[in-house]
Amino acid sequence: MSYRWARVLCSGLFLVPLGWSFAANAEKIRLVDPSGEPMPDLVVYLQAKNSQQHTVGNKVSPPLEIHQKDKQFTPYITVMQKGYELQFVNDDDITHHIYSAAGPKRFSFKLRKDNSTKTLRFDQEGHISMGCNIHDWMSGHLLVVDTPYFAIADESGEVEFDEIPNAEYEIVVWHPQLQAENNTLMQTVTTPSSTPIIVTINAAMADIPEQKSLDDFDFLEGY
Amino acid sequence: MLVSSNLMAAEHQVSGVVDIRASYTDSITSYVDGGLGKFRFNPNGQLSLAQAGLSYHLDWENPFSAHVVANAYWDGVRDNIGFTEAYFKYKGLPWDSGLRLSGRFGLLYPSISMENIATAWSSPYTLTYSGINSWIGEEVRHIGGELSIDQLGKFSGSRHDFRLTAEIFQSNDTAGAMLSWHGWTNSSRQTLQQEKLPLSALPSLDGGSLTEQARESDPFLELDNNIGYHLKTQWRMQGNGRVELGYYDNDGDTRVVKEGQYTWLTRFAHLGAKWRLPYRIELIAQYLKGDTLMRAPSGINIVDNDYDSGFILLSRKWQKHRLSLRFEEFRVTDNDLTPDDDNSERGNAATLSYGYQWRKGWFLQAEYNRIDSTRPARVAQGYDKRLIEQQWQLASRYYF
Repeated sequence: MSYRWARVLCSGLFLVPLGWSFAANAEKIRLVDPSGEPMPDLVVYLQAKNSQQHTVGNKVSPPLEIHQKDKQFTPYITVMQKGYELQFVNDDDITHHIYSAAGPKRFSFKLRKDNSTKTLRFDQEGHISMGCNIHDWMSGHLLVVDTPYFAIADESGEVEFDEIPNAEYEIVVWHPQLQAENNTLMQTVTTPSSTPIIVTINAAMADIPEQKSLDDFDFLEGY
Repeated sequence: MLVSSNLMAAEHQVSGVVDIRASYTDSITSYVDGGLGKFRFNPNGQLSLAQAGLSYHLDWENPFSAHVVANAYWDGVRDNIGFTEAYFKYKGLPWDSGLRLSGRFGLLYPSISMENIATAWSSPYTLTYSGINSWIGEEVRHIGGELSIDQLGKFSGSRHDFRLTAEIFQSNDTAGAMLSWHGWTNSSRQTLQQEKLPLSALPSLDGGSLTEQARESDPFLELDNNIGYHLKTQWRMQGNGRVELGYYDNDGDTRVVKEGQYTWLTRFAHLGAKWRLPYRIELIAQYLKGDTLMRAPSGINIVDNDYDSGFILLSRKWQKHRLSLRFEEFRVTDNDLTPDDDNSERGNAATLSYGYQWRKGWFLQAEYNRIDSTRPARVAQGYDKRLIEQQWQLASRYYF
């Protein structure tokens, strides 16, 4: 009896805190549409239910870049953790005038031709829709999240997180064309998950606007 | 000091086009040379510098930019060099509502042409412009101030953008004269700011009812100090195309005549569409319909014409190739009773153009033009009133 109590005490002192705070597991999340087909290119991030959780294991972010290439925002969608810097790079031989005119971070700057850069720091989470004031068809999206666990689903609709501390999370799925409130769907999960995590996207996707001018010629002059 | 120099930091951009063309024209003396031929070149073969256009942009860090465009023509018909556009442009950032204000002020084209979108107002589709845009390039430029407001749909998740444009202008009081006296053309010339345009030798101008009219029309004159206006609305559907509708009225006071230059009252409505059809075929269609009036000081209508023209251009680009096909119809109806000045005409035109992009900015383009028109005024110059004109062109166009 006393032996058993000792074990419970021990596990209470050591095993439970280990499992609760320090144990981490790799988790794979798969996004599918209602018919089971993979849903690629959506942003997935994990928001811990307990707000203290996401200070654990801050991910070191690689230098993030958004390029202006062939008069397109490349990539179309970028996701980053708040508090980091992002660099805009112009690969084109013309000037772009990048702006965000709504949402949590507003900015505008002209990015001159041939590899001009501009670095901005993003300290507030939220969706930033970007455009070019010279080329109206250009469109890019940045999602700033308050968690180190974020990714963009690959071609098979999958994201994989290497080290997720075991806890209860909200899986948040986001895409600018996702036809849901705030372009967002959520699902709760407790890690480690004994079964593969599958998120069914029960919302339609609008067409992604083509980042292409109607006038297909390299020497246009804004007439 | 540092801040102010930073604010005034500007980027200079120079771009241009050099169009060297071999052409063969089966027609009569060109309208550019005082004839009634509808092409810019005189009959038979020719090698010419069909356009040397230079465009200079000064782009400040603020929303303002300055634009100057000069063109030169060395075609043996009327060789000349001069300015065609010079204006300031303002383009504000959108507000969070998706509204955006922009404007232009200076020597500029009213935004009507859907073909002339490339450097120095050239067209990427064809070497010669449609009848409508040949006329815009010949005598519908002006000094004006234009204000546009856009509603950008992407701020509300919509694919639809709308634009309203209002423009007031002056220095466009003789517009209508050339359209009346030589009719619609298929050209690739733009009238330079200092140029005057020769009128065709017609009985009315040569000792007839129009002897007071100067022998050359000065297309960018201000005579009556009235202010004309141009209103336009545009709907754009992202990825698909745009449709626009506009109305132009130069508000000319036809009582004012100075040194043989009459004030013409010229008004027209225009409708245009640019749309991506299936199989990546691009459709451009424009229609313009209006009237023009020129009066003797006594108040009698000397020239009172209705005119209209429309074209459909289909263009398909694949890799380095572009094939464009344009069909057009045009008409001038002469409503006045001036006996020796019949401006009526009716006709249609077809253009087939093939372009090959040899290097990034270097294009080779071959084009065939055919105009079939009936114009009774040709009889006075010794020709049949019906004329079929043809033109073959081979161009090297270098954009930089």
